[in-house]
Amino acid sequence: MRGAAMMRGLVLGLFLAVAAHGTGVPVTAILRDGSRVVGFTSVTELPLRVGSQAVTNFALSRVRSVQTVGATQTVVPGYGEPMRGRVELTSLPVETALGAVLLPWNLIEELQVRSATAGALTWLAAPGAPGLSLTSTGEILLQGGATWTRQSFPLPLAVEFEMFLESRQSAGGWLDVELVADAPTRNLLDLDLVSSTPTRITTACPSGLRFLYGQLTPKGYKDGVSLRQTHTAFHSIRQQPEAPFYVTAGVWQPVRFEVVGDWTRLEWNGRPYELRGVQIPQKTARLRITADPNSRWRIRNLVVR
Amino acid sequence: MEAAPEGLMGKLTGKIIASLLVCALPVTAADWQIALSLTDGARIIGAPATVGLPLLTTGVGRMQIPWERIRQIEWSADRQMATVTLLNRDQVRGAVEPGAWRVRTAFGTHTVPAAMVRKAQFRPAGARDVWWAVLPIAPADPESKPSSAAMVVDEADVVLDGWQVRSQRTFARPVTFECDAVLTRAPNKEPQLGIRFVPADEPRDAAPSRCVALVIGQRRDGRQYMTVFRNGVPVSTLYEELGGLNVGEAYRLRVRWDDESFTVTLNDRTFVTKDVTAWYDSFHIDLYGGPGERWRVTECAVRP
Repeated sequence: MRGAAMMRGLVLGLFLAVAAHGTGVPVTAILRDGSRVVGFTSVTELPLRVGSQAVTNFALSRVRSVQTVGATQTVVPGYGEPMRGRVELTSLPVETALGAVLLPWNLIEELQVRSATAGALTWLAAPGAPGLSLTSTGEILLQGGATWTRQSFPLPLAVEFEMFLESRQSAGGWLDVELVADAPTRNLLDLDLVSSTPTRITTACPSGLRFLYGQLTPKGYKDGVSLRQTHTAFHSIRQQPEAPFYVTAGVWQPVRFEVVGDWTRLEWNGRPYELRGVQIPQKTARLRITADPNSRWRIRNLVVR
Repeated sequence: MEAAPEGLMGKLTGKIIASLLVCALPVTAADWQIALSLTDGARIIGAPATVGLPLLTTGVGRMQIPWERIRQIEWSADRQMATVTLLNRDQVRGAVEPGAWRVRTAFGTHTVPAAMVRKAQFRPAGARDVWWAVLPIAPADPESKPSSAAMVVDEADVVLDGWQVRSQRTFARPVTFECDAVLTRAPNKEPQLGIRFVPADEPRDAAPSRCVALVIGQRRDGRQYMTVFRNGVPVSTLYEELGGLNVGEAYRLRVRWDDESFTVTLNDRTFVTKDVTAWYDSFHIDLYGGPGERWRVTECAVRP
């Protein structure tokens, strides 16, 4: 079944991994003077002293960034909670396009670890599927199409990308980013959070999020985003007394979506939203993106951690 | 490439030499830093370890321009020719000789192949990049272009065409923000340029509810003003007098926020106000213009 589905899929694009050009962990180091050093480090573990005694070794490949404030560092993992402490490194060797450099740790203001999936995902779609294209720069353009990754990813995970709605249409629209099972078979009931109207979708969706924009009504725009999981859970992130949720067209907006343990978390435009009590039945999932046929959505810089 | 007429070549030669002489201000290489944007996304900041830029021009042939006389180098798309902007904004076009540049950085002296350099900027030492990002706040002016059409030009340059931008980095006081601003479109008689210092935890998709802001503008009655706001409420007006913000005119702006005082230098005039307290340590910097206006803001930099 899975193999047949794969055969039916059309490979939209195959991007060679940037990581394939170097060995080690791909990093970008931002120095105190504003320099940005891009390369690969041979350091695989990051020793972080927490308190006076304990030293925790983080696998650098699972770290998202290390930020220095004063004399301490905050290690932000790919998913999960950040941890503060003091990194016990004196320098960081980085292999760059200019050659090998040794960065004194006290010069590093922020260390960003690039995901190995950056530019290395293969996107599949049904043959002849309309409303879907891939640009040479790696942007995914959707207008009613659906695409999913060839790769599956172990849970827990975090998905990061930038989203762009070209223009708001009078009929409204939506964009779904979902984690789907390798062999989706079941239907599920999904609740549209803005109107609270049950609607049925036809493929299994362990967890995901939907950006939704609507028409202007006397009560304002019916915009929203929902965090969802199979069968039951839903959650509107429109909360009072926050500014009304509004999907702005014409601008790239960073999105980060995490599924960790029994909760999912969305960070969008600096606002974090969480849904707890999430149950995910399988250990791996693929990523699927679907959009409404009226709007043109663009996705870029998508990585999975 | 067509050969330039002799008379024109003579004029070109004279102009280039005059430009270099005009640029011969009392600055030394130590006062300046070079910021190289590389093709792989890296940005190398340091001091050139060589004397100057070897350039092959059509007018005067091979010449070497001292680094400290250069403001910016930009290459054409095919990288055959480069435009060198001098300190006085005169421009020299030519082919940068292939080879490598030696740069002394905080992490050692390194050789940067000229072919890897996408853009080179020269600026007073100690400046930090701002790294603008467009905010997802719909412009009030429906005629504004999509943000992707004309917005963030580079690390230090931005075009405000109805959209607002925010620094990707955060900064802390004392801080100095400086930029060159040119009003390129003003459909009404009340243009304004705002600079906001926004707490790091403010959402990006709404005008900040808490911030300190400096607004430079012009009232309908033709009076120019400069006002400092806190949470939307004016704290003080630094000046208000007859005189407009003119389209096409460059304004050199420098804002120093130190403890509780704002020191603002607009071109050659400096204004100070006190009692600008803040309750937050870490902040982003925002830029915005008035509805329908278009501002080109370049050479943005932050200094501690």
